[in-house]
Amino acid sequence: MRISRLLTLFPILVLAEQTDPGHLTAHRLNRAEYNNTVRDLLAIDFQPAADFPADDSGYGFDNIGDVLSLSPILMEKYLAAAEKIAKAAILPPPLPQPTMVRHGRGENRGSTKAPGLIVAHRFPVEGDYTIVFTLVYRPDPVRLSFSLDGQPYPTAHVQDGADNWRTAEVRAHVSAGQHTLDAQLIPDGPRAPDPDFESGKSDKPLRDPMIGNIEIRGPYHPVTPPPSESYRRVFTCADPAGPQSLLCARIDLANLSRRAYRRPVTSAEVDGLVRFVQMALDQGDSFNQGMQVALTAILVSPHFLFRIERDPDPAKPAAHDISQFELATRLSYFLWSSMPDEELFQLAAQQDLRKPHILDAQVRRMLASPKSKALVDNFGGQWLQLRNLDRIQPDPDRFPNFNDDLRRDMKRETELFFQSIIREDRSILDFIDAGYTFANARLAKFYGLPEVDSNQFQRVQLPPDSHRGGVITQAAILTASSFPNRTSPVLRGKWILENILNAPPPPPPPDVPNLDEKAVGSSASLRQQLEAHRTNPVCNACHASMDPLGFGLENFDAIGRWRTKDGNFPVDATGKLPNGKTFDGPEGLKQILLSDKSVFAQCLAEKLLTYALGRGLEDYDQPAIQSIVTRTAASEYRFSALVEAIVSSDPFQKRRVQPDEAHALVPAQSGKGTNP
Amino acid sequence: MIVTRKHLSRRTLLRGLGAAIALPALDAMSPAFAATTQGSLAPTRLAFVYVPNGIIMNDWTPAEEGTVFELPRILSPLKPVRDEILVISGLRQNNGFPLGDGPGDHARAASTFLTGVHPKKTYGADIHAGVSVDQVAAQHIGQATKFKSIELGLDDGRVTGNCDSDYSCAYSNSISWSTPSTPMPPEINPRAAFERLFGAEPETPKVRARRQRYEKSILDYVLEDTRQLTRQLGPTDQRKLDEYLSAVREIERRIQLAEQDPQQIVPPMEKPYAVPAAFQDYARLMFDMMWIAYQTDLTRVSTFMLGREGSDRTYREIGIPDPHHPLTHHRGNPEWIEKITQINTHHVEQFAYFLEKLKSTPDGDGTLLDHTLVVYGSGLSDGNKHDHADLPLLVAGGRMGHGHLRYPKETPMNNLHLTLLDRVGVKIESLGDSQGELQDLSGAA
Repeated sequence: MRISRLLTLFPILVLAEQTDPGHLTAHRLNRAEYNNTVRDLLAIDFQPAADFPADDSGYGFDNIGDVLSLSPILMEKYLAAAEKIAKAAILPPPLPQPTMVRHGRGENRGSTKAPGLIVAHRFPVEGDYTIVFTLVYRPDPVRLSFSLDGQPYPTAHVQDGADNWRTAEVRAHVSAGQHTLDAQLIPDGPRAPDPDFESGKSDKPLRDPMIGNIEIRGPYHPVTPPPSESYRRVFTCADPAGPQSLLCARIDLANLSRRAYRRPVTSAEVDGLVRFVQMALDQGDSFNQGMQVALTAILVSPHFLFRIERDPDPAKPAAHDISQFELATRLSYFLWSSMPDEELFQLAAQQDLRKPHILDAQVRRMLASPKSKALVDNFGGQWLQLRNLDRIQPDPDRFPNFNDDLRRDMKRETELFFQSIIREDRSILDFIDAGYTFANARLAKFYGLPEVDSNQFQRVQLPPDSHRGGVITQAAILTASSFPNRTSPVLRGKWILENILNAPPPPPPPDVPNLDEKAVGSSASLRQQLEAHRTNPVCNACHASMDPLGFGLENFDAIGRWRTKDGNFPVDATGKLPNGKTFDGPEGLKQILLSDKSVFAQCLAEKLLTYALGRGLEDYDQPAIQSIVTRTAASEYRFSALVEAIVSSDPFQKRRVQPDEAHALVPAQSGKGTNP
Repeated sequence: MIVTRKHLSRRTLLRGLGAAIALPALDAMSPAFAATTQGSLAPTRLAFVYVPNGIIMNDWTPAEEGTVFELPRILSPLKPVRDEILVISGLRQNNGFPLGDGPGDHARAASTFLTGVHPKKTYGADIHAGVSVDQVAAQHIGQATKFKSIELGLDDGRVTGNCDSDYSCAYSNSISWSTPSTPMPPEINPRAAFERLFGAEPETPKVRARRQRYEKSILDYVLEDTRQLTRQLGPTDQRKLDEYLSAVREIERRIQLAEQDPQQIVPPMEKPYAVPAAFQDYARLMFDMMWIAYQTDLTRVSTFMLGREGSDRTYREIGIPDPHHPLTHHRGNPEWIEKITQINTHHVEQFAYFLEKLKSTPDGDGTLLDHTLVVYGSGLSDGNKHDHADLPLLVAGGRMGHGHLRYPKETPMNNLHLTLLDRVGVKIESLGDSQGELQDLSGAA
């Protein structure tokens, strides 16, 4: 376990009798949290943190308070982003110019084999649009029937183009937002002739006609939209004196700052913000300009950028409950990577949030909400290394069918799988072995599963001989733990040790002697080459536990496909652990991993607790961890039980001051600072 | 003039001639010629270019010492500027070695390169290295420019997990540290780098002045707010918010400078919108921006990491699909060594592009290269064995002349840093593990 060097230096005698809940440093929002918070605060969707520098990670996650620093360049970006956000929220956006967007068959939501094409499109604003359909292959006489969100339009006339390409056009007045376009072909006569094939000039007949793509051109004559959702979230006041009075400014800014700072605000704080509006008016600028300046100030305030928790007396290190609002904030950033919503704020204001039955109900509500996708993206993305998958570049010579579409599909499978465990409140043991997964046409073919007739992902029951089931058989994890040109049993074994068995191998000792390559012919299989690693006793200590786990997965190549041969050598997927247990192949490996359920449960509990708290775990967290595991086991290891146990634990609900290790604390004197 | 390091240094020569050397008339419109304490011959700018994972030293170190030497294979792209290159051998970063901390040489290589301080082994709380030489320079010579320094890079640092044997990713992602616990992350997005230097949208002076006025009041407001807040917080929180305070003050300084000098610079290049696919194009795009930043005096100090330490980049465009880092653990395999040499040479080609640009740009009484000291090197020499001794380094420009200088084996690299700082007019007692300046750091004119 990780030992806190800080803590061993400073004896905390006061806490000898109670469990130590640990200390959280003022915790700045990371990129994902910033994006989500801005989205939930102001309904602004353009991901302002895309430009921010990378957040440093610690303990495997990028939301660790102590590690997140604030460099001048990040502050600059915060200021620029705040200005941009405030402008977007308050000023009406310019009406968009006409553009052309094309949707191809890759986005088809209908059957991949049917000639029609069904796509979704987000129309930016209400207006006139021209929709052009391109038909390909054999030019049979057909009519095109088109419907928008199920509402049919008159059938369109199909015009000839060059080269067996034909088009049809529909003009429509469409409202802003997401709409579904459904285009189908209706035969209108006998098949067209295929002269090239009939004469033998071409050796393949023309395929049946289908719709190749849908182009949406516009908007033409856009209609000015009503005030956006963002605008309405800023200007909430409906004072008869008029929405542009200073009284309304006060009401609006009080509401905004309460939500942005995630706690009740003082009238002095609101005064400070209203002064910006006054300043703008004094300088001859508009009321809206003043509100923009005030909103910008809110967005660069430390109260917004940091999650700050208070101690009643920074000089006393005793543990204490965090406040209701602080609890709401921890909860929402844990499960949603975002700010609390009104319901959580209400419960906090009523001092009800800490009550166990209410807290549990909130956990279940939050897990069921679409916002819990953040848990999949941010916790899952890091625990299961899905973010690393983006950077992996398999060798195109060896794996010519690997491309970005496949990469996206792999990622999606694992994301949907994680999501299903949350949504269906399944046992966390399903992570190790489950009878189902998610796939689209391309991924099902890649895995050799029964055919899936759609580009959209569907739940797939795994046949008994599929060799798949659980995360260690999913291509995303298998690829992320391989090299570009070959598998690495060491990397895979290490991943399993770290992320399933909670037994991370120690780093290699200094001065590891180089392997004598000459002693191993390059005609040896990878397994044989790695055996040579283990004849050296220095290496063997760790590799004896790491390598066999990776060998169990050797049937999966470097991009996760099933294989029975590695080059010229048959795959040997047997493994023998230091404790003498043997297994063969992924099924056997999974049996071993499941043989002691509490091991994985503790592993996941520790990782999830680290993520939930935003700090590394220490020895004093052990009692809490044990109790979390016990509670989870008692509820058949359900995911919601794990989350509820974490959320009710002492480390989550309490805190203590971190004494400065350099010198003893000076008790605060009223009215004066505590800066030593 | 000067032939080898055994002769008198240039400065001694100048002193011998007497201090009364007439300075050329200062050009008021070009603040880059602000007088330095050493007169107009002295360089006014610094740049540090870093390559990761070490270099194949056999093809880097010239066989001969002194001013007459063949450019070895990796340095051969520098032929057009060979008169301005000083290759330096023998320096080491002692604090890059484990010194009892076990593995983690990549984290240490990057974090000691410009600091000379042994970093604290942690991947969570309390990252701690030292202040880097570029930031020391920035504190002094950076006050007069809009940006005290700029940090650029090409590798995405967004990796999960700990990056190198229980060291935080912060250590291998940056070489620049403004305080021992504040790394300066490199900007890897060309559009963001461009917008930072030249502004996101063109603004009229009136609009810009108004924006800056409002920004100042916002920043004053949050500064005061923060000061009140930190009085009520415990010591660790105060330290966190200190970072916030310094960052805010830095922006205020910049706004103040901009208000005094309201000229808006029109960038002589198009705004880039995407990251170029080929490494060469990407590197040159960033080098272009560094060049323009120097030319327009937006900054005088920069660092550029051609890759994060431990980089896994593949160089398919030159026929190498293998990731860089594992390749450098070649264990004597000649094919792998050949590939690494090609990568090393490819890096130097991009660096040569930069030097040629600097050389072809007039600057006062000479060229931009004459007034800029550019360091190129790596925190590792032998990437296979993770060696931090006899580091691959060269200094270009600054009218240092050309040569190959070899220093005694135990010489700390930070002696070089001290010397460079002195050249740009920043005198400090020591930095990291420095023991004094490098003797006779100069070559032939």
